[in-house]
Amino acid sequence: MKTRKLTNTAVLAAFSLAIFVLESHIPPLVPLYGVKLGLANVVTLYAKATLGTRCALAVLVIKIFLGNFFAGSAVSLIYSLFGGTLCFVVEMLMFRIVEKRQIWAVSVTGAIFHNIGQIIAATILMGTEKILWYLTILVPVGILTGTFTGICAMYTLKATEKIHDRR
Amino acid sequence: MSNKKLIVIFAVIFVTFAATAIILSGIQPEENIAVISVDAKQIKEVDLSFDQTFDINTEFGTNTVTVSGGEIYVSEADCPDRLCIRHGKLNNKYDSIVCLPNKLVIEYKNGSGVDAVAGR
Repeated sequence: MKTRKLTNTAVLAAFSLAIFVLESHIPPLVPLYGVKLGLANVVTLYAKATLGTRCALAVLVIKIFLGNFFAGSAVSLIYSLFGGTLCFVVEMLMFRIVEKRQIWAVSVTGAIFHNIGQIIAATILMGTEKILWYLTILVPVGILTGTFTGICAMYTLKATEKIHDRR
Repeated sequence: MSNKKLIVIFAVIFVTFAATAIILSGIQPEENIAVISVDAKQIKEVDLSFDQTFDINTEFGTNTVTVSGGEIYVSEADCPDRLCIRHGKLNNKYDSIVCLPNKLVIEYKNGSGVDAVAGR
């Protein structure tokens, strides 16, 4: 069982990393920083739902560090760390509040707080609190992208339900 | 929590923030002066009444800034994402052109009331 969990975590981490790197190569659709789908979060949510919090955290940490190593910079690593940490903490809390079927809501909240975390990082790095106004754009955007990735996670879980039942 | 409740909560948050964004985007600055900062340090004040083009050269990279017809924008940059160019003109009091890789920020002077009170 333990080996199985370890293998699954490793596979999910690889998935997450691949999605992250692929997504970073897609040119931004709108000229705004921080606006992207965040598809890798689907994998984090999936890991939490099927393997538990610790494995999800492992997937996330591997994605952040290796992802920014392959397709980022030292600066983007700091942004990822702020966004990722806040997002993860809030998502784990949301998992306790909502039912398992409402994973989309976890994703939306996560996306909002991911963006808030990145704005906090930007405020510290740029040394100007004026960037806080940017939240008025990034929060609605987070709700939209979070809904999308949340629905992705919901259907992924539904499609793989049988695999987990067998265990 | 029911799905309905969650949808209402997120819809309210969405509308509140989006409405704030729209209202803020209509506020124009009192002075037509832009401030350029690199790595959180103010390096230049630009009077937007004079058309001009100049380079901001720093250890982080180079951005070419153009002032034309009272408006300011980044016309050329060596950063990889070039989002500062795609941002276009600075268009309201709270707007800022940001180039993350080059740590460059362009905004209107006194863009936020807090700074005006705190002084520099």
